[in-house]
Amino acid sequence: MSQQQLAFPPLNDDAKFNLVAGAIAAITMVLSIVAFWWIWWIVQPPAPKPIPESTIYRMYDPSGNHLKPESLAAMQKYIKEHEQPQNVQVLKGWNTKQISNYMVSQVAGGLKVDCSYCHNINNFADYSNPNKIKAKAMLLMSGDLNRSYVSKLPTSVGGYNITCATCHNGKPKFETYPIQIQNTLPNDYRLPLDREYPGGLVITGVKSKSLDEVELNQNTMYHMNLSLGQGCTFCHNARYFPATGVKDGGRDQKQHATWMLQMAKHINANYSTIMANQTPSCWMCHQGYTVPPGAAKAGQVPDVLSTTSSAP
Amino acid sequence: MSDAPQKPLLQPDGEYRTSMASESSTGAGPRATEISFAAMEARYKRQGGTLAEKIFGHDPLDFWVGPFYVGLFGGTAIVGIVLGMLGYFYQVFFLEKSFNPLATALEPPPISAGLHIVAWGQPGFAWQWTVAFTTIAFVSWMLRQVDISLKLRMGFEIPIAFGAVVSSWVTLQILRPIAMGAWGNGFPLGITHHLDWLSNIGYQYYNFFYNPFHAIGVTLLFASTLFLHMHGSAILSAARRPVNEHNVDVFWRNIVGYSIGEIGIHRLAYWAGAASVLFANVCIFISGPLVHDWNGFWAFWDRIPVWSGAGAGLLFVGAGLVFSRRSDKLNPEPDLQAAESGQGLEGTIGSPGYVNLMDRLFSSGRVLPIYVGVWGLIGVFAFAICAFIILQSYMHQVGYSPINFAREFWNLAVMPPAAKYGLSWNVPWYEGGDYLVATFFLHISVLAWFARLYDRARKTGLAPHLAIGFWSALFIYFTIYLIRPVIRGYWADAPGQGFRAILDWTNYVNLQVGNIYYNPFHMISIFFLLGSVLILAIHGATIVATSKWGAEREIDEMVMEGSGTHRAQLFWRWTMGFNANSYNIHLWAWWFAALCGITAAIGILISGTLVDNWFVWAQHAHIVAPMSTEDWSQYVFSSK
Repeated sequence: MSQQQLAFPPLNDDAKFNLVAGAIAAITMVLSIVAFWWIWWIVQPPAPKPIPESTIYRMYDPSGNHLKPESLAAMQKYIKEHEQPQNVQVLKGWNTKQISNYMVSQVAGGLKVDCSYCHNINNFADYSNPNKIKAKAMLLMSGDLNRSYVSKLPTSVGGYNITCATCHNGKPKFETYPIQIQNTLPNDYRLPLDREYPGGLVITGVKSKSLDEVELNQNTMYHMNLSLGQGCTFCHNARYFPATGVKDGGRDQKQHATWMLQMAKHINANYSTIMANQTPSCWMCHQGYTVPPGAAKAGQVPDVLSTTSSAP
Repeated sequence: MSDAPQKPLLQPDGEYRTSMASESSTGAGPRATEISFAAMEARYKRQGGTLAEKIFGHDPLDFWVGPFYVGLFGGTAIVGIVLGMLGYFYQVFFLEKSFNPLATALEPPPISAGLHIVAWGQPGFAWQWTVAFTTIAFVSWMLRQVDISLKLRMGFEIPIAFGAVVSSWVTLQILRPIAMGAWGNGFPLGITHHLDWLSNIGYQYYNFFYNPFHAIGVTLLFASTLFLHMHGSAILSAARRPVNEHNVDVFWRNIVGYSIGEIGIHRLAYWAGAASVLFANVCIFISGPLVHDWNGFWAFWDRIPVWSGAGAGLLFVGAGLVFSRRSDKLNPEPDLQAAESGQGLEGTIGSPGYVNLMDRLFSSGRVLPIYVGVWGLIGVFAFAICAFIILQSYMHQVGYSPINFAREFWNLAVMPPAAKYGLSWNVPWYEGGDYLVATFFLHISVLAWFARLYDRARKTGLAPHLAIGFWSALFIYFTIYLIRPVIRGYWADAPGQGFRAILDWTNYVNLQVGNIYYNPFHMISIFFLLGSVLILAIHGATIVATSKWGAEREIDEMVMEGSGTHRAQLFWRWTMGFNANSYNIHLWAWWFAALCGITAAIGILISGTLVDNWFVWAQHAHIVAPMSTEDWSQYVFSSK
């Protein structure tokens, strides 16, 4: 009698069980998803700050208050007193004003240091500071690398040049293998620069190459993955890794990577002293991007150091 | 009172059941009256009761052609199959003009086409056409299975299990491309060409083996193959012998301390088979939409706050609370366990117990005792020595810090000696000497396990199917760890003892031999692996769907088929034109799982020994699809 007044038919035991089980399942599912995202949110690294556009660099912000006012004042005074440079050894063909613009925007701006880091600000032509001697060697190195290696990259890659910020990224001294990029690699991993490239890492179809060799190859490839922020397929058709170039069924990017590996070998062989005996890495310039964020745009480095310059 | 679930009690045959079940003559609940297969088919082969009739009131195709049932969804399936095949062969004969269906390639539309439908003649048209009609065919086939289940009054486990596979296709070809914003992210079609996509997608995400859902999915695929072989062996080893399911139960309890039971194995089969596919869906769906770098993904592990001392302490306290909670133990009657427990070396250890969860899941809550025996002791001690050496070396590698041990556990590995040591035994302990000794004891351990399987089968009255089949696993194990490194001339080609080391070994061998997907034995082994999972899921689903008529009592059903088995047979007869029976489905099971291991072992044995480069081999065999890398945007992350 009382049943006729119910809005819904009475639930049998099966329906009750299904309702309760369904409710518990739904709550558990929601809670577990919330818990998952909460832990995920905790363990995420902080998002990198967006990098502002720059006229000189692909993606690097040279601004900052690293230049002291007294240094700038001394520089203006020096430009006024000496319209032409007094003792220029690398940046030939420029007047003092042009050189100082380059120094402020790319040298001091690339390392985020004051003029006095290298210069005697009472006499900018003075070579008494050893940092200035080192910086001169660095400038010559960038010219050498641009001429010998970067110039090989096709213009489709962007026509960028190496400049101070390309490696320094705002730090006068930097580690080429910071610990955070050794994730999944042995802490003492370094690029195997004692081998000949191309060919030094070939392991496919060679009976004499053991899995130790494959592991070295793979560690190097992981280092490149991480440094460029790209998977293996950026440079390879993964169905057959040895193929180089589109016409061979591979990717042209593999050739580019080989040139860059040759460049790293060249740096290690010839510029080890000014690199403070550190082995160069892909990360030190690429920083997780296919084109290094600190690479200079076309026409932004001095003519004597650019990809189109002739050897001094 | 009468509806309240009763506590299971130890029965005279040594099993735990409720007393109600024990009252029936067979010991497992009421069974339907025996009628002949022909009478069953005549009774159920009649019109009506299909989905279309329930929804539209009429099913125009509700008839049989020979043994095949058609139905409305059979009709739509035929349309999907025929038009889908037309799309594929349109590519083979008219677009490529290669007349080589093995090496054809149906690429999806370019990424730049986004989610648009491309027109006739545009790139990707044949792919979209084929995918659309294949999806129709798959879904129709599933709905046709629903119709047949309805006609036979069966449960819907078979269409659900098949639906898991359909969901994979939908995830791969429809959901993931939509989530990534372009059909170009779909899976290319082509008998060998789809392997190229697998290679490129795997390596695009740095190292796909480090994708945890991939690891779980692959583990479930292999676990499914193992379950299939164990179940096939269990049934075949009791066939044509004067034994019953009790012998099989004692065998399994002797070996591992637990027998899952007749209905339990089929439930496990159904769940494991379906779960392997569902984890595979997760693993591919999040690659791209959520995660780019499976190496870097694991950086989260080191950032979990538990690695600070306080966090680890809390973790240990929590684990302690979980493991020290009160458990419900059913005390057995002591005189009844004597039947299964001898004394001394050739005896058993552990007293019979009851695990409620196992009973809820598998209808078999009885655990223990477990048989000891000479081979068991040798196996356990050899394995313990192996494990001790490996764990000691792990601790040595982390400087004996328990926190670092837990944190680095997945990375830690005892690696084989470097290539410069060749096949030498004279290797410094921490440079591979530990590996050689630990692996030697692992060899002893697995061989002792074979002897134990053989011995227990003999002693419990069963045939040694499981022990013989175990050699298919031992064949690939010894090929990988012993035979191939010896042929190649250095231990360095054996896999390290560690979680990551195993994944890396797999990747390294693939690179070493060109592209192992083009190794035909690898192809055949994958066929048997996935085929095993299919047979497992479908057999499990079929038996669970007919278990209300006792079809899971397969040892009895082999002798006298009941109506549940008849329904299972009718289902497959109507679905695909032929059916197995309770005996020979387990022959399929045994051989599919065994051939998975055997063909894999042959494949790896000849890689790097007879054939150094499988891609070059495949080119000579003319099975490599032409492939341009000019439009490569699917495989490159958009530049920052």
